[in-house]
Amino acid sequence: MRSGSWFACWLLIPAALGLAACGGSPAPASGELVVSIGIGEPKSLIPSRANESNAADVLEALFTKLVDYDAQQRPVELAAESITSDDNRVWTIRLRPDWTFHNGEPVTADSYINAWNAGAWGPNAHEANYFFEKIEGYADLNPVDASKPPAARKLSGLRKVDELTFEVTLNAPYVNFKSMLGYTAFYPLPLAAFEDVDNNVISPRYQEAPIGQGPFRMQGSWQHDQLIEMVRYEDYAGPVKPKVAGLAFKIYQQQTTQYQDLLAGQLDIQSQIPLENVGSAAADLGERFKQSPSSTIQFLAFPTFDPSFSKPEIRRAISMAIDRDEIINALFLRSQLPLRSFVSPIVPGYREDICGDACQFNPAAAKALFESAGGAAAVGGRIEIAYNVDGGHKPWVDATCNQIRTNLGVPCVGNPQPKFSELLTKVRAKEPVGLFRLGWIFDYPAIENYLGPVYTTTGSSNYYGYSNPEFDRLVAAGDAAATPEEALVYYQQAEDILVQDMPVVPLRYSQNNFGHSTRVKNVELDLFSRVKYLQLEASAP
Amino acid sequence: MARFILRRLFHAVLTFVGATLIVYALMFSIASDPLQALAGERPLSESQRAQLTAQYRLDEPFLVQYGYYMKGLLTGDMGRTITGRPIADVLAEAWPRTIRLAVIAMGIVIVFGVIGGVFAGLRRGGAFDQTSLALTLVVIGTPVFVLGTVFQTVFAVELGWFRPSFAPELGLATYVLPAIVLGMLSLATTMRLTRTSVVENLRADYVRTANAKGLTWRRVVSVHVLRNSLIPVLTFLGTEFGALMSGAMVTEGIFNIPGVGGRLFQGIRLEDGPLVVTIVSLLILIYLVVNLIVDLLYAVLDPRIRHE
Repeated sequence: MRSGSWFACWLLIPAALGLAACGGSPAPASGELVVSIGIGEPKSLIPSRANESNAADVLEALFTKLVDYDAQQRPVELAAESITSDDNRVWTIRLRPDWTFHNGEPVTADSYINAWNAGAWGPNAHEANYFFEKIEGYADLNPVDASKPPAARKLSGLRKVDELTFEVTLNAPYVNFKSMLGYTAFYPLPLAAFEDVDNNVISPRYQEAPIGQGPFRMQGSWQHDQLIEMVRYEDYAGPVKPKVAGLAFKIYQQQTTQYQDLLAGQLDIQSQIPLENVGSAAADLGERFKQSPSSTIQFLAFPTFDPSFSKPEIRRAISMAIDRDEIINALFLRSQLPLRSFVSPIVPGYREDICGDACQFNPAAAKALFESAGGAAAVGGRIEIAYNVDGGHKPWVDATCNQIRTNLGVPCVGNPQPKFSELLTKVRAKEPVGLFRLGWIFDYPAIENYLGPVYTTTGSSNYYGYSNPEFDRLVAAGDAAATPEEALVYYQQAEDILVQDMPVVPLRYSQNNFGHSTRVKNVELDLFSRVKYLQLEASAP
Repeated sequence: MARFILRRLFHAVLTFVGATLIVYALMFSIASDPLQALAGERPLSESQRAQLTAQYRLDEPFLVQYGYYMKGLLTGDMGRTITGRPIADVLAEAWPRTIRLAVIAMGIVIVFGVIGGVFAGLRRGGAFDQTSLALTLVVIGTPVFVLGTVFQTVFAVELGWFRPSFAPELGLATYVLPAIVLGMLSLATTMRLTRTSVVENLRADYVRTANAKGLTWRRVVSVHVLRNSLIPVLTFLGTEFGALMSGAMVTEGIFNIPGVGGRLFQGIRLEDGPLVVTIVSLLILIYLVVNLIVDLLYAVLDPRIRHE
């Protein structure tokens, strides 16, 4: 694509390594090359603060999770040797021996216990704090009144057995706990990360150059808004070693700029090609443009405080009036796919088309059902769909509204809100915003990670107030079940209730749309939309 | 002269305080829930909400929050962004980049704008004048983000003359393409302004006198016409420098320059009051200082203008 090769050469010289890759020297092997990956500026690089994908992408390279997931999304031990429990309440985690942090410190049970205590410690106000709420003693560390000091400094549910073994006691049996341990918040921390380990104080300097136990270690420190460089950690104890010399996370403000860099050969991997470029990506990149499933689902929620949407018939009629396929083909260029279930297709226990007729486009039946349930008068004469304007949602919301207007004969308008937080503020204040859009990306691959947070009465992301005691009971029964198989029976019964109640309109699930340069191969993304770093290979062009 | 400068500096201090108050009030009024903005579409636990509210004093009334902010500022503590970085660090990294970008853009504007304008003015109606008129009209009518994306695609991706994004290892060279895009609009206006001014001055009495005295054409143009023509251009450039800095937001975004614009955008998105207020106030200060310099330069260009 470019004529002058000296520019491209810049990228091949990892300045930090000082390799003379350009000029007449022989072509370097994969193990001597650094692969660049585009991300946005992370908010923080402390594991228990990393609740967004940029930070999680970086930390995934610096740390190794206790568990990984197999092809069926079942958890398998990775940094742990075994994770066992007789009752799903008291879990024994045994670590593999001889793992070390990048600074040489051995990884022990204390590394995990210290890290989790710091994450759960209320005054730290770490973003992923709520991930520890299932562990016994969480409430003591998290008073709701900030002026009072917490009743305890350490989670009572964490107990060290020996150097490499610790026991986790949960508040109640939880069948998916092993799956949950693959989340970013459960990484260990070295003693070097702490300013005061007894008081759960992490040094403010730690996140500028995080020390982990993963396949790559930091090269220098975090160059904010620009670059995070890493080199292979030679003493990495994991079963699979990296095949490249290092990773360079280039930080971008806009995904469109990333794409330009990818085209110009200045960037090796873009894990999210924006919708603006998806249309031309196949032509621009050829086989280097790839798609794979991801975990995000998008839906419209009915606020329960609004009497307009209290009848399930009305909710079902609106769902049937939406032609998902048309919107996906015309607006999303199939970068997302239609969803006719309440969970993502990639989790174990997903059933295709579980939503049945209610999610099939059927204008005649929709109109009939809508009229029999009271028609336009029942929804107050018109329907609104609220969305945040900073997320590029306007086109599909308008298209959805057009379909509802045409097919149900009721006026429908979009209700733009500047930001998602403002939308939530209005929903909390029970202002009539109409239907509103929501999305959900999982934290660990379990059907419960959709059902629990999104649809249960106390779910952390149930912003629309849906509450069905029978549903809550079934999810709780699933959580408390003895085996994942048994749990699934309950979870699926719970999902059946959602089909009856239609608290939300399922719309789409996302795909990873990614591309890479000619220098790299074996580029694959996992279900978290994260590059699989360990299998990456590079070659000089 | 010294009194003039002192008085203007005093005005600058008043403006600065007033501006911070107004911007702080605006940020305060649009902020619905900064903590949720920080959490994105993720949930926020009750204890975390309580902690952060106390930490950032979000439950205090407006004037108290502003008082804390000003107190910090006066004692040299700019505070922390809502993501936890010291604002002073963020600004120390971002400002030099934005200033470099704006200065290079300004250089391009002055060199090409003024020279082009003089050239067009001297040969009014000529081929250069006509072409530049058409071109500048096109540029003035094109939004910066369109211009930026087109330049990036053509000169960086297709032709490979530049890098599409910021590359610090290239030094100042990495600012050239963004600076051209950023300066383009000002360049077009400067050229039109200089041209008109030159055309007007060429018809002035003193030019006829100078010609009649037998001065060379070169001397008439460079000393008499140019000097008088530059006063309106200088006024424009003075205000434009501030506009270049704040206008850098779009250009910085397209070319991924980690300057002030990107931080300002992020600050507004996360409802980060202290960060936005600090950046905007500094922008205002720069604006004031540049305009003070412009006023002083008037006196140099035209001795009849005295600041007493």
